[in-house]
Amino acid sequence: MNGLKITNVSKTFGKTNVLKDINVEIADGKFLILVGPSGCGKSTLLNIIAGLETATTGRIEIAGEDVISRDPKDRNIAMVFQSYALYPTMTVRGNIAFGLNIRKVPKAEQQQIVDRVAKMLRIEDLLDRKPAQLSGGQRQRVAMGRALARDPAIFLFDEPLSNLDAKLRVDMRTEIKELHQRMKTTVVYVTHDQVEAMTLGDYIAVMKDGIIQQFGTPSEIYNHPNNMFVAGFMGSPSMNFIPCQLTEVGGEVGVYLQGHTTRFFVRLSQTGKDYSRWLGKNLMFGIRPEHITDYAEQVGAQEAIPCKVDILEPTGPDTLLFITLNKVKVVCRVTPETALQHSIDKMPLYFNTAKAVLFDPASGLAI
Amino acid sequence: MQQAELQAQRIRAAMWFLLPMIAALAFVAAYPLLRSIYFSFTDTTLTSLYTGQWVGFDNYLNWRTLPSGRTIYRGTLVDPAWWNAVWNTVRFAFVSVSIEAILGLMVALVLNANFHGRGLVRAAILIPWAIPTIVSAKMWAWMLNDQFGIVNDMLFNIGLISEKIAWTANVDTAMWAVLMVDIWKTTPFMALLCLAGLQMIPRDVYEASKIDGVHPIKVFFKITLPLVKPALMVAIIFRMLDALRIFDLVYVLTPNSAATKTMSVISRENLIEFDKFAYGSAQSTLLFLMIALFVTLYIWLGKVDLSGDKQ
Repeated sequence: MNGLKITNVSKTFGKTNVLKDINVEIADGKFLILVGPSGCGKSTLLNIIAGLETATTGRIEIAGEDVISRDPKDRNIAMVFQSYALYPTMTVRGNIAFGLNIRKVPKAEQQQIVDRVAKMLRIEDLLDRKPAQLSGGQRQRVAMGRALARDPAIFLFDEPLSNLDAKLRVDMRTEIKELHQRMKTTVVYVTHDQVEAMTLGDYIAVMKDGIIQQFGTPSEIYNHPNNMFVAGFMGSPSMNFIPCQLTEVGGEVGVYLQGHTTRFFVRLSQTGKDYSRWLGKNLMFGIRPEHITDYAEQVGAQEAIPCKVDILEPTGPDTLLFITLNKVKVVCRVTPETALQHSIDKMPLYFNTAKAVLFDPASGLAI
Repeated sequence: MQQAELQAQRIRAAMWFLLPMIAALAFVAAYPLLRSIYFSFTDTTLTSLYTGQWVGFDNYLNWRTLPSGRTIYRGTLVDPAWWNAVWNTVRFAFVSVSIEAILGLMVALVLNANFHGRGLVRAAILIPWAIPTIVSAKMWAWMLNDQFGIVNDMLFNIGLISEKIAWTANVDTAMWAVLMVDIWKTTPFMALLCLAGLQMIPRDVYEASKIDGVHPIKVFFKITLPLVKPALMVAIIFRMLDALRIFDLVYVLTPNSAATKTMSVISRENLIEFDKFAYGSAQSTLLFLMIALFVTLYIWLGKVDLSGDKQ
């Protein structure tokens, strides 16, 4: 069964196209992430799914039923808002039970549901407090409790963690994932945080300018980005884009990279790709920081290239190195030990070109 | 130690900033108030402003037992004209502020909605509030005039009244005339304060209520009203203070009508027109005490938060 099916949804405000022909389909129980920079239309899309905004054209199906003409309350959804949207004058219990109350669930059953949800979220001892007496993380839990109490066909999350501090955000992220694994309800989750997107989603839709740039599993999105925007948006630090020219040397296709002092050839090791029509063209060589590294095994046979490091940033688990290639700044990721062992003038780095992606700089599309 | 020094320094700086304000208030508010209260305990008249003698509570209440054994009570507290004014004022204040609060909230709800030309309507609705009271009172006096007034003319022409009514002069309608003009004039003020309160309410609470499927009327009573209540309570207190000491509108619209004479009007009458300066001062003092008592009760019972600390 379909968890959610979005067909040809467009939205225009006056002359601006906020959403352009969106098509997404996920199976029941899957976790869909809508991710993108602010203004990309992800929240509008979520609101259209919720029924808080109307689509200019298109259809929305939730759990196999067309809901486009239904009110939010009749769509069998529950939503968690960015600023929690708790009813300030009601207690936590009142907040969780309010929706049930409106739908005339018997009192005893309401009590049961509130208790179950409160236990699940560990907010039993907060039930008689008002939202103003709760911390941000507690409010977040209550907001989720209110959604859980509905037992909907689909959960909608609108940047639920963006108002929490960094540590709490990581904790809550894990908890949301845990809850989803337990509940197995379809989730649509809007975020601008690519780490949340990667960690939580079964599927990710990366959006920009009202268009889904790429839809796929986290690993597809991360390892095989469609275009430079997706490649640059997902991952932190983001992918390096090095302008280069595709060259053939001794029957091997690759690119020349010019450091401060050295110029070297990196062979492309993608299998089964025909680059012949791009030979001699100016391209963007996209490579993630973790693929310019000290770890020889994952890279295969290519030898280390000694590079001069401009800046060294220890982050704890690993150290980021900034080098210059073809006149652009390039980030590499090595273990702290390597960074200490070698001189920063001659840091041996391996290029894992199997994971590199070439882009056509004119269209931004991956080759 | 350094912390304490810094704290002390801050307090000193704050004092310097407050000083001009406190001095000005002492000069224009505290001094006249204390002087009025002092006058109310003397036999001062307009012609003997500086030579009044201390008479204690005589202006409030005094009594004399006649040789016949009959006791005569005198003073403001047994003056039927005063109690009539008190009743008029209280009635006026409660009716006008209640209606203004309800209408103001309704107008605010409308203005809070999204529609084209909202900015223009918001500005336009403030016009009655922006017109000086004297001007609007005169304007309405003409409109309500029994012979030339447009109100009578219109009501007469559509057949609602069979003879023209002297709205402001007639004892039965004078208070209603004053009330109507006051409501017309100050509803915009209420609406604006309520609107400010409404705009503080986060939008997503309403979105959450849509998803919960809450009926709009229930949304108003369960969500909007409790959230706008703090702003509304403050708006009501402002209006109540104004209404309890209303003077200009009554004085211009219905001069010398016992049906509308308020505490302020009657005390001015005694102070200036009847040359009972001390007696009028006593009435002013009573008015002050009543307003003080009312405000204290209101803040206490309504748990109004004027400090702005709570959210």
